[in-house]
Amino acid sequence: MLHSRHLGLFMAIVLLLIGLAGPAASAAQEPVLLGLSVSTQSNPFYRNLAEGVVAEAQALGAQVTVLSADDQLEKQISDVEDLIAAGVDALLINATQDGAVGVVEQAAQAGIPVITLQRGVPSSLVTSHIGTNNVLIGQLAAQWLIDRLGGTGRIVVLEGIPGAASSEDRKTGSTPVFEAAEGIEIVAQQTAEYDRATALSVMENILQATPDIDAVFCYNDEMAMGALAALEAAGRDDVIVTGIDALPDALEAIRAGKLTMTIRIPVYDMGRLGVRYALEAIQGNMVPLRSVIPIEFITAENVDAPAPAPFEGPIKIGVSVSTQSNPFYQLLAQGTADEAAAMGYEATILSADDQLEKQISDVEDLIAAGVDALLINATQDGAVGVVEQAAQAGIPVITMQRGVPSSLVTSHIGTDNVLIGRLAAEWLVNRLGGTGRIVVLEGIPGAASSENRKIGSTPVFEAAEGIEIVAQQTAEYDRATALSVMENILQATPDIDAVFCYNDEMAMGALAALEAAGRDDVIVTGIDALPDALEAVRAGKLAMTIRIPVYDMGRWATRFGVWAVTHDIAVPVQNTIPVQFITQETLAQ
Amino acid sequence: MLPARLRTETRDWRRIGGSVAPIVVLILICLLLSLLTPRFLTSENLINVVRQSSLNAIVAAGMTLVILTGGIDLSVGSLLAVSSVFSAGTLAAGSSPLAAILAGIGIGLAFGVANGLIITVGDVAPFIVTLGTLTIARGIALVYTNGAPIMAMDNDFRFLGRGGIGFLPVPIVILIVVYLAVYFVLNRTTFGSYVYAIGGNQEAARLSGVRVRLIKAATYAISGLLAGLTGVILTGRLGSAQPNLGSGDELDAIAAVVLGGTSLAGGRGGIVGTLVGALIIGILSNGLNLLNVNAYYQPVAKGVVILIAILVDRRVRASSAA
Amino acid sequence: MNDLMHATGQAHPPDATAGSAASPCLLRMNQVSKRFPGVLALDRVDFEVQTGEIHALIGENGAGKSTLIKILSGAYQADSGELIFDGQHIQQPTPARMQHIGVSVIYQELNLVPYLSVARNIFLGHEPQIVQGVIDFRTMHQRSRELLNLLGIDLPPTRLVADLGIAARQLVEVAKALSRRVRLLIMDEPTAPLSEQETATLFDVVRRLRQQGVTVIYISHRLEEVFRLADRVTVLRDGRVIGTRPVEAVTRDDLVRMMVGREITEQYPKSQVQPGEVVLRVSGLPGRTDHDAELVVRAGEIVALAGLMGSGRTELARQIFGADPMPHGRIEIRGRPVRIHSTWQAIEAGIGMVPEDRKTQGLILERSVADNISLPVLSRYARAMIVRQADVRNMVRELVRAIDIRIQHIAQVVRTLSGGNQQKVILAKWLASHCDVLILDEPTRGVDVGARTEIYRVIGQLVEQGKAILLISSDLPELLGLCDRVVVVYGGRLVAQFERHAATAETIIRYASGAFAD
Repeated sequence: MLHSRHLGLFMAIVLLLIGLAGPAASAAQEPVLLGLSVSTQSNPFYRNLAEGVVAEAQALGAQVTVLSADDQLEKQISDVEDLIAAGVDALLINATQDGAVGVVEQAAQAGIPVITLQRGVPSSLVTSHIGTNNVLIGQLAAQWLIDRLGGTGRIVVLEGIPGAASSEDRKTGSTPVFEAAEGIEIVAQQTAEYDRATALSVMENILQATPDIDAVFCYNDEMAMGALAALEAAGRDDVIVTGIDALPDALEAIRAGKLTMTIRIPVYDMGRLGVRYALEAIQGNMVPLRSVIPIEFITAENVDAPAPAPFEGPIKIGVSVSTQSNPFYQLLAQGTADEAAAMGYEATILSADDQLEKQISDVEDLIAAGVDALLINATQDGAVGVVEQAAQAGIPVITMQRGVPSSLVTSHIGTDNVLIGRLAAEWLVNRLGGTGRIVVLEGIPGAASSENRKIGSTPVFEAAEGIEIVAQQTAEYDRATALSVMENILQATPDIDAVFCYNDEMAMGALAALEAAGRDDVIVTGIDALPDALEAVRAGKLAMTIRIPVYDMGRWATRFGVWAVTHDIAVPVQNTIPVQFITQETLAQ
Repeated sequence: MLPARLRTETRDWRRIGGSVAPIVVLILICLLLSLLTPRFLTSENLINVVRQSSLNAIVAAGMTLVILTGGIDLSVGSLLAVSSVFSAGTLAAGSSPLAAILAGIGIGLAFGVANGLIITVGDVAPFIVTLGTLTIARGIALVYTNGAPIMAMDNDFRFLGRGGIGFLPVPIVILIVVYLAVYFVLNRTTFGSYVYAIGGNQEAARLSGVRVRLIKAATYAISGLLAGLTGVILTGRLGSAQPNLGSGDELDAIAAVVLGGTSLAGGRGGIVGTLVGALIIGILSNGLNLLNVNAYYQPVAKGVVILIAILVDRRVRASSAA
Repeated sequence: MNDLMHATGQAHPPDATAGSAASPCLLRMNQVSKRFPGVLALDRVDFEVQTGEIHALIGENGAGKSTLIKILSGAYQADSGELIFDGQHIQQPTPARMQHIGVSVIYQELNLVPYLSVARNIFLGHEPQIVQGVIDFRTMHQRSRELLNLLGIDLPPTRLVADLGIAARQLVEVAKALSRRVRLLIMDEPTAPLSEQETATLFDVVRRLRQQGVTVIYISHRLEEVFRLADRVTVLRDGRVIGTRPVEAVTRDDLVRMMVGREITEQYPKSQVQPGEVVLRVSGLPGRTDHDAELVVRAGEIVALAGLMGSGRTELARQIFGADPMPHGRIEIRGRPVRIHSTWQAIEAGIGMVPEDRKTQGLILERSVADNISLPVLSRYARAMIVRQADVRNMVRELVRAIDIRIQHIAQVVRTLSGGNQQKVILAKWLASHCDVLILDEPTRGVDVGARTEIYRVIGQLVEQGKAILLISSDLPELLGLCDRVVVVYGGRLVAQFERHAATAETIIRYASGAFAD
C-alpha cells in the first residue's frame, strides 16, 4: 500500500520533470530558426512588419534571419533559396509579386511551413496567409463615415490607382455601402492615383465644380493630405476628410484637427502573429489557413491614447455552442475548454440545443456571470442581438464556425464551405481521371453549409468535360434519408461511377444502399471525418472524407479570446481553417 | 332506401379505412409517375419503395391506435433513436444479435408504457407527456452514445433491416405482419372495439364499463413497441445507430395516419388508410428522386400533394354524407 | 312595447308597428313543402301564427318540426310554397334576412360563447361601439341590465356565461333575441334540461314577452306545458299539419291522438310485480341529520330518486355505478358487500346505468348500433380478446327485435337514429348485460310521446324480469306513474321516503325544495 503510493508520487514527479524539461531541452539543444523574406525595408509599413517578426521571435526564444528583396523578384527568389539552404524551420514571406510562387512551393515541398504576410502567392501549398482584407477595410471605413455624418451628406470619393488590387477592393467594399445609405450622395468620384500632388489638383477641380460638399473619402492618407491642402487653400475647414494607413503626418493632421479619421493596420502585430503561427506549424499543429488582420480607426480622441494596459489576473471564458448533441460541435467545445485549461484559465460551456431562445438566455447568463471573453458558435443569425449586447458590455466576442452578422464581433474562426466544396470536387474529378457519371447528395436545402458547398463544387464538376452529374438530390444531411434517396437513384440510373456527398452521414447512408445493391464499384466521398466514416475509409468502402480540425478551431478561438482580453496582440478578425483529405493511404501513415 | 347489398358494401368501406379518397389519390400518383418515368413501374422499384415506406408505416400503425383513442404520440421519432442506439450498444457490448434486437424493442416498449402510465394515471394531456418523452428519449440517446454513431455490422443483427424471405425484404414482411395484426386487433377483438369507443366518446365508453385507462395506456405501449421495432430495422438497414435518427419522424407518421382518413379527434378511421397514407408519402419521395427534381421544389411538391389528398378526402366525405 | 323600445334603444320601423296593428296574422306559411333525399320532410304545410300569441308546435320526433323551424330561420329554403311575414312575401329567406325582419330562434344547443360575459353574449355581433371596433361597455351593460330586468331576471351582465347554469343560459338567449328587437321568437324544447322551478321561471319570462307584444312559437314534447303556456297549438305528423286548435278546445287525449294517430290507452303501464328480495342496498348515506340513511331496491321494484337539478340525485347514481368516487356509503348486492371503484367493477357486480345525457354520456354516436349495444358485454363474447362476431350480431338482433328498435340494419350509425331509438339502444345495452340493478337517469328526456310509451313498456318488461330499478326523472307525473317508492334527495341528503300511494306531487316538491324542516 505504502509502496504503491510512493510509486505513484515518483511517477508524478517524473512526469512533471519530463513536462518541464521538454521545451527547455529542445530550446537548449537547437533553437528554432525562422527565415523572413520581406519585399522591401524602405517602406515604413513593411519595415514595421519585419520589426514585429524580429521582436516576437526574440520574445519566444527563436532565431530569425531577415532578408529584404528591395522590391525585386529575382532578389527575393535567391533570398528564399538561401534561407532554405540555411535550414530554416519555417519561412515567413511578404512576396514582391505572384512570381515568387515557384520558390515558395520549393520551400513547402522541402517540408518547410510557409506563412505569407500581407502579400501572398497563389499556391495551395502555403500553410497560412495573414493579411488585410481591403474589401473589409473599404466597407468599414465607409460605414464609419456614414455614421459620422449622421446618415446624410454630400461626399467626394478619391480612388487609388485604377486597376490596383487594393484600390479596386476598397471600392468593392465602400461603394455599395454608400449607395445603400439613403441620405448619402456621392457628388464626385475621381481617381487621384494614391498620390498627394494629384489629389491636391483633383480636389481643387472638384471644389470648382461642386463646392457644396460635406466630406471627402480617400482610399489612402497620401490623397487625404493632398485633399486637405486644397480645402485649406479654399478656406474650407468644414469638410470631413478621411484616409487610410495612419502615416505619421496623417496622425499629425489628426492631432491638429484637420484630418478627421485614418485607419491603422497593425502591421507590427501581423509580423508577431506570423511568428506565432510559424512556431505552431513547426510543432505540426494546425494554424488558420487564412487570417485577416483587424483595423483600428484613429481619430482625435484616440490618436494619443496610451496603449491599453496589459490585463492581468484570471480570465473567465464563456463558451456558447449551438449544440452538443453533434460530435462536431462537441469537439469544438472540447477544444476551447482544453486550451483554456492549458493556459490556466476557466471556461464555462453552455449548449443551446440548437434553439435560438436558449442560446440567447445562455449568453445573457454568461454576461451576468461576468465572463471576460465570449466564444460563440451561433445557432442562427438571430443571436446577433445578444452578441452585440456582450460586445457593448466590453466583452470581446469570438464566433466559431457559425457566425453572426455584426461588426462588433472581435473575431470569427471557421471553415470556408465554398473552399471545401471546391477542394472536394477537385479531388473527386482527379480520382476519376476526369471522366465519370456522378451522383451528388446535397444537404438541407437552404442551409448555408450546403449552399456554399454547392457553390464551391458544382462549377468544378460542370467545368470538367468528362464528368456528368446524373442525379443531384437532397438527402438533408441525414443518413436514413440518404439510404432511401440512394436506393431510388439506383432504380432510376444504375449506371454511376461515384457519389459525392456533402457530409459523411449521407455518405454512410449511400454506402448502405450501394452495399445492399451489391455495388462495390462506386466511389463515395464524404465530408466531416466522423468516426464511422473513418472506419469505412479504413475498410476501403468510403473513398475519401474531409477532416475539419474543429478541435483546433476551438483551441485557436480560446487563444484569440484571451489575446483580446489581455491586449497582448491584435486579434485577426476573420480566420479560415484548413481541411485535410482522409483516404486509406493517409490513414495508413 | 338502398338495396341491402349496396348498404353492406358502403359499410365495409367505412370499416376498413373511412374513405376511398386516399386510395384514389395513391392510384393517381402511381399512374402519373409511370407515365413520367419508365423506372417507376418496375418490380424492383416497387419493392424498393414499399421497403422504404415500411419504416414510416410501422410507426404509423402504432400512431393510428393512439390517434383513434383521441390521443397523440409525439415521442416515436426519439424512441426510434433510443431503440436504435440501445440495440447497437447491446450488440457492441458482445451480446447476441437476438438479445440486441430484443433490447431495442424492449426500450421502445418501456418508454411507451411510461407514456401510457403518465397520461392515464397522471391524467396529463398526451401532447405534453409525449413531448416530454420526446426530449428525454433524445437526450438519453445522446448521453448513451456521447453523440457519436455506434457501428452495428453483424449480419444476423442486420437481418431485420436488410434480410430477405424469398423475394420479399424482411422490412416488408414485418410491415405485412404488423398491419395484419393491427387490422385483426382493431376489427376482431374487444381491444379494437374499445379503442374506437374511447375515441368516439370516452365518457360513454367509461360508463359502459370500458377500462379506459388500461386501453389507452396499451395503445401508447404498442406505439412505443412499434417505434422500437422500427429503430431496430433502421439500424439494420444502415449498419449503424445514431442518436439523431428519426428526428421529425413523428410528423411523417401523423401525416400518414391523417392522409389515411383517420380523424385527429379520434374514433373514426382505420389501419388500411394509414398504410395507404404511408405509401403516398413514400412514393412521392421516390418519384421526386426518380425524376431528379431540384431539391428546392421537392418540399413544395410534397406539401401540395398532401393538401390535395386531404381536400379530395373532405369532398368525398361531404358528398357521401349528404 | 314602449318598455322594450326603451330597453333596446332602438325604435321599431314605423311600418312594422303599422303592420302588426293592421293584420292579426304575423306569419303565414302556404303549402310549404321540403324534400330531402329519400324523405318528404314537409308536405304542403299551411301554418299561421297570430300576432302576440304563444303558439305551441308539437309532434313526434321526425314529424317535421325541425325542418319547419329551419325554414323559418332561413337555414333551409322551401322547395315550394310561400312564406308571408307581416303581410310581406319573403323571397329567398336567408338567416341574416330573417333575423333582420325580427325572427329569432333559440335552439336546444344554445349558441353562447362560454368565456364571454352575459352582456357581451347578448350583444354579440351588434355591440354598441365608441368608435369603430371599440366596445362601449357602459352602454352595453346598461342596456343588458334593462333587458334582463324586463324579463324579470336578476343576473349581473358581467358574469361569464360559463359560470351560469343551463336555465340562466337560456334566459340569456332570450335576452339576446330581445336585443335584436325580436318580433317572432321560436323556442325549441327549451324546458328539456330544466327543473320544475326553472321551467316555471321560464314560463313567466315567456308570458312577459307576450305582454311586450312578442309572438312566440313554442316547441315541446311535454303536453302539460302546452296547457300551462300556450294560446293555440298546432300538431304536426309525418310532415303534415294535422290541425291547429285553441288550447281551451282540446284535451290531452285529443293531442296525443293527433300526434300518434292512435290511442295510447295506458300511459304508464303499471307493473304488476310483487317486489322480491333486496337486490341493492346502499347504507351509510347522508340522511336528514346523520350518515344513517339507506337506499334499498328490491327485485322487481322501481325506486325513484326525486329532487331538483343539482340536488345530488345524479351524483348519487353515478357513485353507485362507480363513475365517480363515493365519499360515504357501502354498497351490498344481494346481501353481499361489493367494492366498486370503477364502472367495470359495477358492471361485474351486476349494475347498469342509463346516463343522464344520451349524446355525451350514453352513446358513441359515430359507431354502429351493434357496437354500442355490445360494448359493456363484449368481453363475454370473446375468448383471448378475439370477439365471436356472429354471436354478437345474433345477440344484438334479438334485442333489437325484443324492444323494437326501428333501424334498417344493426350496422347503422347511431347518430342517424331518432332520440327515442337512441334511448332504446342504450336500454338494449343493459338488457344485454343481464344486470340485476339498472339505474335510469332521465330515460325519456328529449324523447317523443310515442317512443316514451315504448320505453315505459321496456321498463315494465325489466321489472317483470325481476330487475331492481333506480329511476331519476324531472318529470313528476312520469316519476309517480312508474315507481313503487320515491326517495327525495335534497342537498345531497336523502330527506324523505314514500310508498307510491302515499306520494303526491305536492309533497315531493315540498321536500325537494327543502321545505321539510318544519
